Amino acid sequence: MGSINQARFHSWFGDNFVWNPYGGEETYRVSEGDTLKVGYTSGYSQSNSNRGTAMIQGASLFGTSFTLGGSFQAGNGYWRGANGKYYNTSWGGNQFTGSRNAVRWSSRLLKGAGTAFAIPALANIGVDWMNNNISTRSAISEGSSSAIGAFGGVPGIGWTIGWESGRLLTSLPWYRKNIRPFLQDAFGIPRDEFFLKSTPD
Amino acid sequence: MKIVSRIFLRFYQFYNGIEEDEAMVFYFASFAISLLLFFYFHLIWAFFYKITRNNAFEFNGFSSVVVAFIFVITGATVLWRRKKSIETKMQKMTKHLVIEDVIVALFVIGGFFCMFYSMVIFKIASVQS
Repeated sequence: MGSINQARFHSWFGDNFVWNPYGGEETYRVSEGDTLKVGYTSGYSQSNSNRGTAMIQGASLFGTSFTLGGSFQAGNGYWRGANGKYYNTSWGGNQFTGSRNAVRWSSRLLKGAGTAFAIPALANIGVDWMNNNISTRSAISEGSSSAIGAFGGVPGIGWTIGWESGRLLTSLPWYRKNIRPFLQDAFGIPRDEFFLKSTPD
Repeated sequence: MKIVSRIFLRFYQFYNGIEEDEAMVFYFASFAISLLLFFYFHLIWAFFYKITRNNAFEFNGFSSVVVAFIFVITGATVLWRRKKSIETKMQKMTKHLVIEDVIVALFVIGGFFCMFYSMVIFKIASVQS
């Protein structure tokens, strides 16, 4: 648990809503006219939590971009010439397209490097979990996702893109204010956040 | 060598379905096998740290990445040099399920288990020390 913070809110919805984004506990609540003064402990550190996931996201996306680059260059029986057009692998290329073998080797290099980046991503998850920057549940889910990225070849990269996009979406303040509380209600999970009606002091 | 070829056969079959380049299929298979071996090594490393409590063996992201890359590069090189022999053995093997496939499955599941469990040992040991 961290230090005690204080925030002021418009009491539009009475006393039922509490801004509690990082799992801290409410310590006191005072009504002052149409404003609600709430004290809460920091709980999970926002800066640490963000830093942890940002490092994992960075390593995953860096590796993904390599593999994607390799897949764009060659795959599914086609290769991409220097002129930007795709050709069948049965044709070796000419002075305008460049060599098919050069493209094939550069594609292999990019795909191989992209897969190898799953190792630092996995190590980052371990470091963040050891430093309590992410929860055990997050570490297991992140570790499993990175393992799929590492062992899934090119389709595993599709998984990583979907995973990272989901993480990006769920970290948006708009999503956390407007979608998450209603999803929690729908699934019967107690709300740990709520939509904010005025900016805290 | 027979069991290595069997593991390779199963990884080959898996990666053949998702990658058309034969060299990349071989790379992905050898990468996966080497990384799984590293996870087993990581568990031994964690136990070693738990027993000795020597800070030199403490979990560190950078050293883990370096050792993992050493495993992957060495594994991929060694397996590439034995490519012909492995492929010859694979061609003689049946594609149907045999008793060796249980060992292959245990090797894969055990590798993932080691990945998670080694971190738990590192954390418990670092808290206790």
